[in-house]
Amino acid sequence: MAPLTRTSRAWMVWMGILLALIMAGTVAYATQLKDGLAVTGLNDNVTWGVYISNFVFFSGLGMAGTFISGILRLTGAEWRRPLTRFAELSTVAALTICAIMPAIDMGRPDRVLHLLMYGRLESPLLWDIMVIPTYLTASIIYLFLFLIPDSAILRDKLGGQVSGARRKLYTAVGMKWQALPEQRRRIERAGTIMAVLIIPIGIATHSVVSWIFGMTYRSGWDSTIFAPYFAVGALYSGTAILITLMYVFRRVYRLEDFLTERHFKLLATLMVVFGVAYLYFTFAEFLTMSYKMEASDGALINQLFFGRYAAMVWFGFIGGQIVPVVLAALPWTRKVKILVFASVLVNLGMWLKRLVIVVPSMSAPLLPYEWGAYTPSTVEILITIASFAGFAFIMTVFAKFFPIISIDEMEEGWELEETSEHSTAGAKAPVTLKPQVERA
Amino acid sequence: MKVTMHRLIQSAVILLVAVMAIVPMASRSALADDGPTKITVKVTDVGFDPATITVTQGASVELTFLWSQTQNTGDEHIIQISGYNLASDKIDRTNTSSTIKFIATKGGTFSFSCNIECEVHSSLQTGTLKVTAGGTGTAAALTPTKFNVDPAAGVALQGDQVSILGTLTDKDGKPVSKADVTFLIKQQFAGTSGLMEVGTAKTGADGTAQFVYHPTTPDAESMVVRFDGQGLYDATEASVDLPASRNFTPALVEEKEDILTFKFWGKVGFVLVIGGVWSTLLFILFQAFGVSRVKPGSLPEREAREAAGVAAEADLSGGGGGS
Repeated sequence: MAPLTRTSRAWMVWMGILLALIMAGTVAYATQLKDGLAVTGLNDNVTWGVYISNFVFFSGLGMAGTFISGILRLTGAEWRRPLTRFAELSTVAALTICAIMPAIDMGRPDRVLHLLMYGRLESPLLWDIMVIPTYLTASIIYLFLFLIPDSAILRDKLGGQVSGARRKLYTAVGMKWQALPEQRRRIERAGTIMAVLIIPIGIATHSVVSWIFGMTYRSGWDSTIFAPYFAVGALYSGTAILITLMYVFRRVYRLEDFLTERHFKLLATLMVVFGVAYLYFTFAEFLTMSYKMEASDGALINQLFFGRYAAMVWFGFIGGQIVPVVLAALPWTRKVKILVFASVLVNLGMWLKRLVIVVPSMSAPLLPYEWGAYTPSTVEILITIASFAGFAFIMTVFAKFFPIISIDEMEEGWELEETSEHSTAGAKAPVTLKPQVERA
Repeated sequence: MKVTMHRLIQSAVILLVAVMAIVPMASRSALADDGPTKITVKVTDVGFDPATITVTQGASVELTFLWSQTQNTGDEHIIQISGYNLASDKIDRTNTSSTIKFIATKGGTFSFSCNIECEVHSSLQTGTLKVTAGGTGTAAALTPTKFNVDPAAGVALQGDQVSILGTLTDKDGKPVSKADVTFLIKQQFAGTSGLMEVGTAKTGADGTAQFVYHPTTPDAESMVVRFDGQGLYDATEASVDLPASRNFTPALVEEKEDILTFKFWGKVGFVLVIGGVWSTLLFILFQAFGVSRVKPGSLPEREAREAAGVAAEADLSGGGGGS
């Protein structure tokens, strides 16, 4: 709880940097609003660029919360407890940025409502407009549910250490929580339904994002495996961002007793599983395309592997998939720092992968004509940097107001563990990961 | 001798003054009087050579792009000049040069670049055209043009299509050939109105351009024919009233019964799924906000306490479990 009441100089500097980057992006966007999309590198041929790549990338990062909090909660994996809060938070932060990106990509964002007023339900773009806000709302509710007990704890324990406004915030979110059995039953019931619900919503989101491409007759996009391909890619990058975030929060808030090396290894194992699955999908996709080698596909593959995009494609393939999977799989490289390095590589590779999914297929001509050209402009680069800063900003501000590890869930885990130890005295060691600290 | 010396000095001064007057004139750029300013820019493997060119405002310019690559011999380029809305023809190792003729009417700094995804694309984004003021002589002027469509013979219904035939001429009535003419229809969409391009045509040697338009409505429509001048001429626009097409057949084919059925049930399914999800989210919120209504000692609270007690006993006797 100490970080909630104490503000260090490093925190102020970090917030200053983030705000400066967000401000630069805002100015760039104001320029775009004033002068139109002409200030971007987008053109007649390539109408989707880094904005849509960011949209796909951030939707992928948003998968982390779904997986950790949903699947692990349902399967009763006790080691999830220190991770759930920032997993859910990273989902909310990533989806917020993700939802903004298509609006930024629009030349006339004031017409965004036209999508609902004049949109056709047959269009995947409209499905997207429906599913992203649904996923974001569900993620916010999911995060909010387990904040209720924690806010009540903060309301009772922090008391006069925080300002009146913050006390009011904790009182409002805490909602008269007194840990009564009926209150806990309500939260658990809602949490279980939410855990069940959020998994198909998450999978549906990534499927719909993939269908924006997959439902189109374009080389590189015209594929039946795009939905599972994107979902697995999202799980891969979502797990990787959790490892990165876990390391950052562990270092900044000195959470070594809670976020142990074993948590890194368990998440790394999941990352290996998803990485191998993603490699398999990548191989299957390109083998099928290369084997049939339709004229337009052939030209695209040539551009991807040996042409203008070769450096990005090969880095995404080797640096973003093979190297991280090997680093996370080999016993002698499964050290915290190496795993964090691998997780950063994964997301760097996955961002490039999203870019080479979006741009080359747009550049490829639909008729025997010239290839379109696209280079992101300074405005696009500034907005992209601001979007990453925005993601970090949401995480940082939230962590200033609420505990980044769920206090209530941890206490519940300890109680279960004690009960288990009591009932299985003399038997084998418990399966949970009890933190090596004295309980407060 | 004294007179000869004096005349020699006098002649030298006159010569010096004449040279001083002529030299600056020669170094200044001439405009249209001396014919077009001809510039050749080589397109090489490392970029344009020269990358920066300077012309005088008001000059008639013939800018030739010459394909000069020794590597990447499969490259093709179309060079466009921003601000002047001009582009070269495609150049490659077979058709190695293309000349853009234009009058530098606008002063300032403009860029020229290749707009094709070629191997040396990034190197070909750096061309600069500087149009500076200060030339001498007569500035070249854009030639006025006019696009004429004979209301009687120029617009003809051909089945469900409308043919528009017109002639582009300059101020002297001479035909303008090889000119790109754009045809636009006045349209309304979602509360906005504007001109929508429906096609282009290139004028022939006699200046005529023909365009066949497939109407999307049986009503009379208004068309605008536009010529942007292509750097040498003044832009011109002409309005053409298109007649109502009695033989109109919709461009869209009616959807078949099975597709309509699929779409109907697809929409029903979509609405049910989205509705179901949002209803469940509302139920979850109801559960969450219900937390604040629970009071110690209330009936549901006593029931829950009893249930929790039973569960705790079961845990103690039967072992732990998940959350």
